[in-house]
Amino acid sequence: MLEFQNVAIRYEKELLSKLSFALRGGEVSVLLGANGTGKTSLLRAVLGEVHYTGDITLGGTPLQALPAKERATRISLLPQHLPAPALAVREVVALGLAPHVTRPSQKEWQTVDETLDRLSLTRLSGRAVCSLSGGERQKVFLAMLLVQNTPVLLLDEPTTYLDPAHRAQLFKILAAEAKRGKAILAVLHDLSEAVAVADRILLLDRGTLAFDGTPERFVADKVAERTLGMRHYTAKRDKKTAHFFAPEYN
Amino acid sequence: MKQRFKRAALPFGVLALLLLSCLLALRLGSTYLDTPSFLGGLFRRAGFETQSVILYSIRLPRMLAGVFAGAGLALSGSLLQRVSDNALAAPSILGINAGAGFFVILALTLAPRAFALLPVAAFCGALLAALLILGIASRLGLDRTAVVLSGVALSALFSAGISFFSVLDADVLSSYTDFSVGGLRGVTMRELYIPIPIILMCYLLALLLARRLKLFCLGDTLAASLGVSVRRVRLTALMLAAASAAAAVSFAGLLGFVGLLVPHVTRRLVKHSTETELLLSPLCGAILLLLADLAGRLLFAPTEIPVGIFTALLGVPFFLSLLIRRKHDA
Repeated sequence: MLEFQNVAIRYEKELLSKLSFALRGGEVSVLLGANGTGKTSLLRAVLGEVHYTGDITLGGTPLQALPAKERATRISLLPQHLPAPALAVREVVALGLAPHVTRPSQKEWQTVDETLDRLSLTRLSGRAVCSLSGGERQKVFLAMLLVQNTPVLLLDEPTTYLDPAHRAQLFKILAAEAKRGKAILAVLHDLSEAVAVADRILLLDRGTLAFDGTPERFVADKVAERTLGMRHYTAKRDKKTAHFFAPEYN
Repeated sequence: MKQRFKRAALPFGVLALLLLSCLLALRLGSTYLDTPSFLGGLFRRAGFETQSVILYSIRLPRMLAGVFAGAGLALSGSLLQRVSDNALAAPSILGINAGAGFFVILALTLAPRAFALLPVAAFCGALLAALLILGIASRLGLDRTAVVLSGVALSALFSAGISFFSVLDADVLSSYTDFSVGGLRGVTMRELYIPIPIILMCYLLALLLARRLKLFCLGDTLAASLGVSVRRVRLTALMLAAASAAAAVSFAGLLGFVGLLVPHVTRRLVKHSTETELLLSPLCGAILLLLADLAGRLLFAPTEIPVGIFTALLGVPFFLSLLIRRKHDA
C-alpha cells in the first residue's frame, strides 16, 4: 500500500540509507529503534516535511506527485508532540474531516460523536483541549485520526501519555482498524508491547532496516539482544506466553 | 439555539457598529453637522457648499483612511497570529514598522521637501522589509520561529538605521516623529487610491485561506497531515499580512497596537472560529480606529491628538483587562 524504495534521509550526515519496505493493508506494523535512529524523520518524510531521496509511493503513485489534500484522504499521521489548542474536543475531532468535506453534515457529526464514544471521550466533548491531561489529549487526537479515516495510519509514539488500560484500548482499536483493511505503522519504544500487539516488526538500526519480520521471529532470532542490548524474559500463564525485554542495569 | 443565534447575529452587529462609527466620523468634528446640513452636504444641495467641502475633502477621506488603516492592520495581525500560532505576533514582527520607518527617514534625508514621496517610501519600505524577512525565513525552513527571529533581527537593523539618520539631522527627526506617531489628519483621497484596493484584495484572499489557516493551531505536522501545504499557505498568508499592513502604514503612519490588540478582541468575541475571526477582525480594527480618531479630534478640541496615541490609550487598558479575564476563565 505505502511503499518505501531506497529511501535515504540526510541532515548533516546520513541518518537513513537505502531503506526499502512496504506497508500492507490489514497489518499493524511496529517501527522500533533507539533514540535518534530516524523513526520520526521517516514518518515526517511521508508528509513532505523532511527532504528525502529515493521513492515513497502510495498505490504506485509517488507521494510527491500527490496534492497535499488528496494525500490527506489516504494517509494520516499522529505526531509525537501534540498541540493544546483552545478549541473544544468535539471541534478538534471534527477537524479530521477537513480533507474530505468543507462543512460536516449531520451524518458526519454523528461519526464524530460515535468516535468520541468509542474512545470514551463523550463526557469531555465540550471541554477545551488545552485543559485536558496528556493522556486525554492523546485520545482526542487519536479520535481525530480515526475520523480522518485514511487507509494508511502512521502513529509516532502513540502510547506516550497513556496508562496501561488506555494503551490496551488503543491497541484494540488499531487491531480493529487493521481488520478493516487499513495499513498501520506505529512507532513504539516498549519492546514487550511491540511483540504483544504487532503483526510485523520493523527495526531501524544505524541507518538501515536491521529487521523486518514477525514478532515470533524477532524473539526467536534474539534481535533485541543483538541490536539493542536488551535481555529477553518470558512469563507463562494460562497457556499464554508474555515476552519482556529489559536492559542490563548493572 | 441561543448560542447559534448569537453567532449568526454577531457579524451583523459588528457591521452595524462600523456603519454607526462611519456616520459619527462624518458628522462630528470641530464643525458639528446636524441632520439637514449633513444631508445637504452629502447630496451637494445648493446652500450647503461649505458642508459639502467639509464632508468630501476632509471627513470622507479621513473616515476611509480610518476604516482601511484599521482593517489593514487588524487583518495583518490576525493572519500573523494565526499563521505563527503566536499571540504576540503583530505587523511589526514582519519588519513593517521598522522597514517603513527606515525608508521614510531615508526619503526625508535625501529629499527633505518631497512630502508627497513619503507614502510611497513607507509602502515600499514596509513591503521590502517584509520580503527580506520572508526570504531569510524561507531559507531557514519557514517555520514559525524562523519568521519571528528573522523579523526581530532585521527590525533591529532598520531601527539602528532610523536612529543613525535621526542623530544626523534634527529637522529630519521632527518630520519623522509625525510619521512614527501615526495619524489620519490631512489624508487625501489620492493617497488612498492604491492602498484601498490592496487591503480589499488581501481581505478577500485571507477569507479564502481561512479554512486552511484554522488547522495551523494544531501545529505544522498535523496541519500537513490534514492536507495543508504548510509552507505555501504560510507564505501566502505572510505576504497578505505584509501587503495589507504596508498599505495601511503608507497613509496612516506607524499606528502601534492595532495589529496586536484587535485580533485578541475579535477572538474573544468569536470564540476561536478562524473563519469568523478573519471576517470580523478587519471590521473591528476599522471601528477601533474610527472611534480613537474621533476621541482624538473631539476630547481636547481644538487641539488634535494623533490617533496613534489614542489607540494605545484606549487599547492598552482594554487589552490588559482581556488578559486578566482570560486568566480568570482558565
